[in-house]
Amino acid sequence: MRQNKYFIDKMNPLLKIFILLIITIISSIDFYPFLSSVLVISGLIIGSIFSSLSFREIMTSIKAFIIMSIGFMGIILITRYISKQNLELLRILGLGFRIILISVYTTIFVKTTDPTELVMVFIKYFKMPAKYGYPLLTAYRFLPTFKDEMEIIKHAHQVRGIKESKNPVIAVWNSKRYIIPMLATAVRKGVRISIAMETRAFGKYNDRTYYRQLDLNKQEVTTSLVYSLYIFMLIVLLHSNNLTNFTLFFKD
Amino acid sequence: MKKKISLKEIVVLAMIAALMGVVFTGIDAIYEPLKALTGPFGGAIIYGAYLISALLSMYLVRKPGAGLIGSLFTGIVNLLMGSPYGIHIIVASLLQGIGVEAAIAIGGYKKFNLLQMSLGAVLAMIFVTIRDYFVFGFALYGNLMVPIMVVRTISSIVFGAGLTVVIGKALRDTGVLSGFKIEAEVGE
Repeated sequence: MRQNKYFIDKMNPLLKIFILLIITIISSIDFYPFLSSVLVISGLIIGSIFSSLSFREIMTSIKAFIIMSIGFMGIILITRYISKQNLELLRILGLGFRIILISVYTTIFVKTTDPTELVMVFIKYFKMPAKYGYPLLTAYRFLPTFKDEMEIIKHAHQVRGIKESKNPVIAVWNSKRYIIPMLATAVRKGVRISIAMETRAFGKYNDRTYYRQLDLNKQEVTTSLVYSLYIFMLIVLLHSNNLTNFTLFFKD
Repeated sequence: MKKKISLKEIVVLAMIAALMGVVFTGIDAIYEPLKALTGPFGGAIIYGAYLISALLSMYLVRKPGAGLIGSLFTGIVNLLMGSPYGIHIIVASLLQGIGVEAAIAIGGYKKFNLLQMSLGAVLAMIFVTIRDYFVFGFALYGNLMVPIMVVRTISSIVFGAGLTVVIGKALRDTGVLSGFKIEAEVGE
């Protein structure tokens, strides 16, 4: 992934987490839609220019969340209307934009970050012991295998004449036929992998080295700082025009 | 009695977490439309299913820290699979893990019956709801808050603790868990 030509794709995941964290905090305390909508737009523009994702790709992955946030706003509005409370349209709009804001930045983060690098960040910067980091990576690698196994189990059921119900409730109830065997094979694999790791002296020595090196390069740090500064300026600008509503506790 | 968690158990927890991450993405597919259609109220009905990762990890391994590790692993896998909640999901899984750990620690890591697991589920639910209160602006819901809490509690007990015990026992019966504490503690 490192040789990728797009800037966001090769950025150190730590810096991406840093920006995501700022966005998350802002979106959790601001009740007005102005700041979040500006950040959504800038996120979309920057994401589609500086990462391997196109504008259309980002939009397809957040489409569901836009629909969800509209439904979310609608329900709250209806309940407030029925119970004759103040409508607070602006704040509810802010709540909806909050969901979109987080989903835009998360989509860009997830789709441009290599899982291995993310775990390396956990190990290197957050001091997660390798004992926990590597099993996570190993398990992540098995996701496609799980999918194959699911198909095998499905076929095994079919061969034995089990028909899938079209009724969603029954289908959910029947999912235990898949979950138990899947869990059993997952546990069995886990035990085997752990034996394989232990026979290779995993976690035996404290001075282990890493094949992949993560480094913070100056250009990436500067860019992240500039973007954080941009967010900060935006807050100051909107705040001085009374367009923000920072509060933890919402009062009517 | 209280032993440190071994590498074998960590790897197994990670494997279960990866699987749970997939299952949760599946639940998300039900949860989101339900939430869009019926608002937070409908989402609360199947809310308890999200607690399974922390509860099941604890139920199978039965050592201090197991619930927290299982829950966090699931959160990270879920994030990597493209969860809409971003970093919030890591915070949520952290809180779930802490809730379950706290409840089981009250029982001294000895009791793992349905009652104890339900306590863990409800405690985890309360912690996460406190976070939801700020993140999703629950204060805006006004009077809706009480029924949501009731439905969430019932859901945590039925779908969280209940399903965990059922799945855990079924998994023990398959015999793959030999060498785990759950296997040694037969008959409860």
